[in-house]
Amino acid sequence: MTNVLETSGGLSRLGDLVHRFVLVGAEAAHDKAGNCGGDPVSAALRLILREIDETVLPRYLTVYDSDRPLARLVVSNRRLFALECEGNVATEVPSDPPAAARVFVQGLRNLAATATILRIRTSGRALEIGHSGVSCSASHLAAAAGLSENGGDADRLDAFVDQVKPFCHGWTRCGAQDNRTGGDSELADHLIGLSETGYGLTKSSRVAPARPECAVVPLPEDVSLVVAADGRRRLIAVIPTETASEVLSVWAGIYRSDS
Amino acid sequence: MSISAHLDGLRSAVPGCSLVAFGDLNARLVLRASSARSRPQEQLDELCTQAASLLSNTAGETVMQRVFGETGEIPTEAVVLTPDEVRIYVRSTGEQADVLCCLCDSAMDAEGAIAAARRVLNIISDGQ
Repeated sequence: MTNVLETSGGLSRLGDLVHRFVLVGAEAAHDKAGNCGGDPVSAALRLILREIDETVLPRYLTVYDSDRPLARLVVSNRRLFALECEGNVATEVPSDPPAAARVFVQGLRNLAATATILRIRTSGRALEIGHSGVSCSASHLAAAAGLSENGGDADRLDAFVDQVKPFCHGWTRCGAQDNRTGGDSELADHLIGLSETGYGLTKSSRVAPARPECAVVPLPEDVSLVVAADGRRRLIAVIPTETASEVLSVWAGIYRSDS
Repeated sequence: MSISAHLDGLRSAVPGCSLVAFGDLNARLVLRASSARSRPQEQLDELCTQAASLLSNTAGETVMQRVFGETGEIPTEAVVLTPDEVRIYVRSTGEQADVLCCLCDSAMDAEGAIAAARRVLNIISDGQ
């Protein structure tokens, strides 16, 4: 688990300034994770995204665990073009931008979870900007990872909802004051009723599950029920069963480090 | 072959599986479990309770009645992802309320795990 975050902008004077500037941010991210009960992996991921967002010219960014290189990122114009993990060929990225963002986020989250002492250094001017031409902005990656702009993880469930609602016949996001529904309105009403029964919750966690979770329950007629919980908030949705693996993949990209 | 032997066999057969538990959904009790390490009873109870919540009637109605307002069979399987584990629940298709719960580290082959659990549950429920 990441417990120290550090970055370096290089040896130049400007680099030193950037280094110091980024260190302040890194310490803030670490402090937020450590003192506010946040997720250290998300804090590390946020730091990597910040580096991407601050890189305008074509650059290679190398991610280290202490002094051991883990991966090289190809970044330009505040966008991530490629992710090459040490010892592996570059991660194959789908041409569809939302799917590409999920693949990038999974890779970056793995890096954030793997590194004990995470460091990021600029390692030269990028000569080739990706092979597929697909790229994702730091803000797009943050949204795909369920990271909010204010530094918290509170909207991970909303990020999940936003990404899966195109699949849903009907859905309700409830458990907060601003309940939302979408899709078939009659179906959404029934899903609210199902939510009120405590469906899918263990008795011991009827108030709020200890950890985020996402259940998929196949039903007749080639539809499945999705029940995702994050704290007191829940998404209950009906999706075509054929999209279940994609929905689980979206959830894993937001909440799991090994997906 | 004993129930415990069937559960041990299933745990060995499913990659990344650390726990297999056999339970009764009506009683919400785990009757037998096979685990790589000892598990607190509360964890086993929680698995069975979640299985019952997902795969039993809610307030006397099936999920199909609740969601679609029409009769329908009780669901017989569910996959639950958490940040660090995957729970797979398979319930018997007949009158019995038997359930198998598998705890795995990845959802890579959830379909294979469900199929294997279904085969073992059928054998156990048939008393073979």
